[in-house]
Amino acid sequence: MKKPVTRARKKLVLGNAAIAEGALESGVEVVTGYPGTPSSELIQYLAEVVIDEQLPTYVEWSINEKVALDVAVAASWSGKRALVTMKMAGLNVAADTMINVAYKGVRGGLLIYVADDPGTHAGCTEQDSRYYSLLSRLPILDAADPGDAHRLTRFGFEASEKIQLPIILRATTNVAHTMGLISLGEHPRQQREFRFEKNISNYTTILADRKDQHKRIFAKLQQFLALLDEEEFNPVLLQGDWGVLASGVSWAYLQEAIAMHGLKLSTLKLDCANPWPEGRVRALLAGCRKILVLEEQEPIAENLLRQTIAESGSSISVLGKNDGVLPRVDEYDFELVMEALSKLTGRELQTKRRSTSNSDPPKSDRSKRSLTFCIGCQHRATYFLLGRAIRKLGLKKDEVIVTGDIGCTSLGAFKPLETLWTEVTMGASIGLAHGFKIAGNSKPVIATLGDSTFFHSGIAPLINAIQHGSELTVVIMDNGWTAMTGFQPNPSTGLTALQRPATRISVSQIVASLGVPWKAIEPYKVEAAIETIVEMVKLPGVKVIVATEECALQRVRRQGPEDPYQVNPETCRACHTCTRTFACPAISEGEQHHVIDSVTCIGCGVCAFVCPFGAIEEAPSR
Amino acid sequence: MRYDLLLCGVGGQGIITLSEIVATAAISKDLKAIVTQDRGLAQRGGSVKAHVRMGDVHSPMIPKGHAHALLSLELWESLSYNDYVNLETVIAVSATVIPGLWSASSGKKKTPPVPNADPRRMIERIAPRSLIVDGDARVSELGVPRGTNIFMLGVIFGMDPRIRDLISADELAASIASVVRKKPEENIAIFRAGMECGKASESR
Repeated sequence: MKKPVTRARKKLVLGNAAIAEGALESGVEVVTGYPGTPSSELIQYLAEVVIDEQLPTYVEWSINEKVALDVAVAASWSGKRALVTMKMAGLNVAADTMINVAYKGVRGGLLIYVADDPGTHAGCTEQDSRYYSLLSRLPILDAADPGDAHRLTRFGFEASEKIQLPIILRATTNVAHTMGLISLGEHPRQQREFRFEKNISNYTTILADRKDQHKRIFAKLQQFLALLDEEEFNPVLLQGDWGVLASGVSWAYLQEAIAMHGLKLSTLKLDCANPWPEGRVRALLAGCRKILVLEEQEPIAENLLRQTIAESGSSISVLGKNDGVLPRVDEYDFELVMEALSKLTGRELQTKRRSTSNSDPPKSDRSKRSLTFCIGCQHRATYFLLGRAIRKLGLKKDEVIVTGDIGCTSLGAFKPLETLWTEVTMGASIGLAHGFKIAGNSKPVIATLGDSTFFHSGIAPLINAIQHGSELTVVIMDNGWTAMTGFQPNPSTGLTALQRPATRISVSQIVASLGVPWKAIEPYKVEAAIETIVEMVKLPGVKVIVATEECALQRVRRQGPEDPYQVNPETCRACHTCTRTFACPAISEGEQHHVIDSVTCIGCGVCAFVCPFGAIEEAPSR
Repeated sequence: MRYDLLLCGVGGQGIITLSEIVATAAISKDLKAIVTQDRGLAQRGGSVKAHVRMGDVHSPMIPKGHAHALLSLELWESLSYNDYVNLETVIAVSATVIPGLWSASSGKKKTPPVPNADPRRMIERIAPRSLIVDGDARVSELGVPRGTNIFMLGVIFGMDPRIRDLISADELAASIASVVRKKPEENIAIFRAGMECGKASESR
């Protein structure tokens, strides 16, 4: 028996973790998701708590977001509370189920958490997922900070269950990745009994009265607005002619501005843009003459506000994106909000203080950092090998299209490798490669993607290419983990999100079952791997290379590094081939000869092959 | 009342750990704390920063020009956050240099661009109260393999009495023990050594 866990009353947690706490306090029984920055820490944190406290909660890193939502929907229909998590791009994958389930409704509270990324810190688009709320009609809650995320999560489960609709909970990067203080509650252990009643006329689309289901959604939204009012969400504060309607993290910037300058403003904190809280908005309108709308990304609230003003026949002016006061692109920050407030109030509100000079001192090129693979990463080796194999085939790197995919493997686009020509969405590498072929490309085309990406969305396009007799080489770089987002397990790992053993699905066996030529390579066995790539690319039709080597970071964490390599100062000619064509961060340039850092080198040995003068050799045991 | 600390460096240097140590100490004093960190992609060789905000604060990021202190675990990184600094900002920088991929990105045969300016003089120009310490060397003098981040935290703590007014050295030490967990005594000793180093600069 594990000792009971004593829980501190308050805790500093990430926004993502605050949602996990809120869900556990709400008695969530099924949690599914697919990793994606900035959403991944939710399930990682929640899984740790579930393991630590031995909670009965089921937690799953699903194969993709659509499957994650399907699983969560069935749990909800069975009466359980369920949570599903994803990044904005993942919601596109799950959207098909989400829009359909809006019609059928839910039983147990179902929360769909999506993390948007204005400013594109995570390298995706500035998708405003609130449009999915308008599209699916599902209510959306917008968190302003971690404490807010915690409170909205708890409310979301209650409300979802009352109105029998899934609810979307949204956070942006500066909420999801910000730590704030929350008050912790108990994690109930009770499990609801499974009950799913056969009701074909509701749960099948083909037999349901779809128009009646559609109509019911609107009634549910009215019910939801009443619940928001009961719990005092969308609060309005009236003091003076200048009004501000703010949602998400913009609310935090506004509060900072009010505190710094002692501003007297009428405010509406918009916790929910859909359904539009008409009553609250009209209360704000009654008190002001001019309203500034602070919302990152798209002018959704702003346009709804303009509509409300037009319908109410008032002459209140609105400042926002439509008049160019604020941008639709990039994230907001305190300074931008201050500028907008200066325009609202007609006062020059100072933000900066006592700076050393009017302009910043010159920044250095040295502090510019490009992203790269980790030290000893097998993906760096694989891309390097691809380059060598292309050369060996008598071709130039600039005439062989190599399509890339999402995840760590996308780093092959950066200097100095610059192997990848494209990177679009999960699994798109294969569909694009097939497309380049049928569009008339006469040279070999190579598609590259990781294992998690292959399982997520790479299998269907591979089958499609084979079915249509395409001519391409697919390189699946199987490192056994969804590494980019923080080493989540996937079907290739053999573990569940709760670190329990899971059935390991072999990439090679899937490929072998498709009846096309395939071979495995080991990226650290350089010469043999190049031979295999050359041989496979020459074959007709679709052929698959599976580059198998566990993520170097994970392997070293578990087993420790191999003996490091070192540069022989006698034979090194400082030609820079190792640092400027391969660029493992363990190697640094010296005046006379280059140096390998013996502490961080993990001994993969690929650089020894890269060196044209044989100056890199294994060091004596550490 | 408010105290804003900006931490910066390169992925893997222990920035996120430092931010959690300071914020944990703050909340143990019933101060409001907000920490905003770079995560995800930044782990792969990128620049990393963390905003640690304490007291009467709301925004997840420090308003530009309002940082009370800037702690950089890497020499060149310290020059990337001038926007946040004012004349009263205290700056502590570890002389550690982690080469970026400027060599790889500047072409095969070219020499890496070496800026004319000396980073030390540039830092001094940004803020009068600045200190550059060879953190790595000082830590290895203490006979421990790593801990530059904790040492440098001690340095900024020693340099700025304003943060010591909010959080005592013992409170921060307790927070180190609760956040780092591994070898608490050793880490606290590193912190105290850093603090002495920072205080010595104050009295100069």
